Order: sequence, then structure tokens, then C-alpha cells
Amino acid sequence: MTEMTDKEILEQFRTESSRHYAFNLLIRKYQQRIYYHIRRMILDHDDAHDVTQETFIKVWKGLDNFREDSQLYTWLYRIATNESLTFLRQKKRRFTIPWSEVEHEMSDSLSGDSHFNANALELKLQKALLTLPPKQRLVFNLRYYDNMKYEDMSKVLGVTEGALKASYHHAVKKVEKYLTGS
Amino acid sequence: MNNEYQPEDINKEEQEQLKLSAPVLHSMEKNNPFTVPDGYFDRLPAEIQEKISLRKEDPWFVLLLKGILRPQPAMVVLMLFVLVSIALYFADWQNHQSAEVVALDSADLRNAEIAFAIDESTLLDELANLDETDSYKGNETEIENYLIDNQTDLNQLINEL
Repeated sequence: MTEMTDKEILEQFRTESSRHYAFNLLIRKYQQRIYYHIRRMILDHDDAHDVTQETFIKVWKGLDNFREDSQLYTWLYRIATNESLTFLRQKKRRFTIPWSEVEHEMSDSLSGDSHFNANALELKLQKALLTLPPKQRLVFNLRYYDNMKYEDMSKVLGVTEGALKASYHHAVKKVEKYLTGS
Repeated sequence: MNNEYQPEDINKEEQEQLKLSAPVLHSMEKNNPFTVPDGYFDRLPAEIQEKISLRKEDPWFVLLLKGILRPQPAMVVLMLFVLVSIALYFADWQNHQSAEVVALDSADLRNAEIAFAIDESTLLDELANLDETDSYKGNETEIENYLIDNQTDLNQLINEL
């Protein structure tokens, strides 16, 4: 069965009788990309599950006002990104600890996570990514794992392409430094 | 314009750059180390739809209250207009009250001045200058009343006259 285009999904969504059906299709089309984008930021499955649900609930509420002159997936990614950053900020605030402590705690919990299956080097890579500031980690994830174009990333993060390229380049250097232990 | 999600194949130049700047990272396979419970993505759409249906909209009076309390520019302007109107009306009312008080005070003051200016002797002289026959008869009651009202000592008056 061929996947519906975003345009077709939106047309179905605008009709009252097919609204829920269209939204179901939208979730099925994007759920894995959105979930893993969130998961790579938040790490814990249960937390990522909550944030993913909140993201799609916000999508449901905002889809009527979505202007089709922009791309649906960049809009979805933007909502998911904002929800993830909000979650991390709240986590930091809730425990009134500095970001370095939050990253330590997340890093330590990775090894014992039943939903994390990685070899030693992959675990080290994830710990390396946790040393990056959240927004730089986002840039790295979107480029390295999602192969997102800088043009699209610019729409998701609201940053110029030049700044994103520079940020990714620095992120790669930092990660490499961590991996090699230098 | 194609609006669909299209990941980009990392171009050769960027690959070469990665190889040079980050050889260890470049050598790694891009595996996804994050796993999910079995059937997670099969259940997720239904869970989300259920959560949406459970989250009911606020009742109409709550929406109305939120609308009133939300600082919308039009409401702020309207409220300011109402407050200014009330303030102006009140200021005008107070001025009007003051004017009346001043007017009353002036009238009373004038009467008081007149009363003060005319002493008893002047009044009696005036009364005496009137036609004796008529005025005496006509004013006898008045004079008596006047004298009684002012507790004039009649004996003293007779002696002075």
C-alpha cells in the first residue's frame, strides 16, 4: 500500500468525517522518525514516549492552522524539538542542578537501560553526545542520524545554514576528541 | 515543489571531510542503539488518539473566563476607556457640587453681612420716621415683636427716649 502524501493527508484531515482516519495515517507515517528524534535527545524510553504523545497532541490541535506553504515534516520536527528541549529544561529545573549534572545522570543511566542496546563504542558515542550543549546535540543528531538537509534544519531550528554547518563541524570535532580520549 | 521528507545523501566532499577530521566517528556504522518494547509502534497511534479524546475542551464558562482574563489588546483598551470615562464623570460631578456650595455660601454670606450692617438703632430710627399715625398703628405689633425678640429692656428704653 503506497503511503499517502502530506497533501493528501491534510485534505482528508480537513474533512470532518475523515479527520481521525487522516490523523492516524499521519502518526503512522511519522511516528518512528519523531520518536527517535526525541529519544536521541531524552534517552529514556518512558520519557520519550510521553514527549512523543505530547508532540502529536499538539500537532492535532495545531493542524487546522497549519499553512501549507511550509513543509509538514519540518513543522512536526520543530514541535518535537521544542517539546524535547522543554522537557530537558524542566528536568534541570526540577532538580535545581546544573546541566552538567543532568548530563551525568543521563549518561550513567544509559548502561543500565533495558531499551538501550549498544556496543562499547556506540555507548561511548552517546556519552560523547551528552557532553554537547543540547542545541548542538540536536544539530549533530539531525545531520548524522537523519541526514537532514541544512535547508530543512534551518526551518526546524530557526538558525541560518551557515551557523548550522559550523555547529555540526565543531560537534564532530568534540565527539572525535571524546572517542579518542584525547 | 515536493514537500515530502527527503533525507540527503551526504555528499562525497562531506564524507571526505569527516574521514579527515573524525576518523573514528567515520569508521563507525550508524546503528540505532535505542530499542522499544515489542509492538510499540503498532499501539502508539491508538494511544495518542485515546489521549486526544480524553482531553476534553474546557466548558464554555471557563473559556469565557479565560477570554476575559487573558490580556487582549482590545479588552485592555475598552477597560481603559471605561475607567477614564468614570474618572471624568466623577471629576465633573465634584466640580458641580463645589460650585453649588460656593453659590450657597455666597448667598448666606450676603445675608449675614446685611444683617450685621443694620444695627438696632438704625432699624428703630427707620421705624420712627415712618408716618406716625399709620406707621405707628401698623407697626405697633412689629415693634413690640421686635423688642420682645431682642429682649429689650423697656424701662431702659423709656428712660433713653
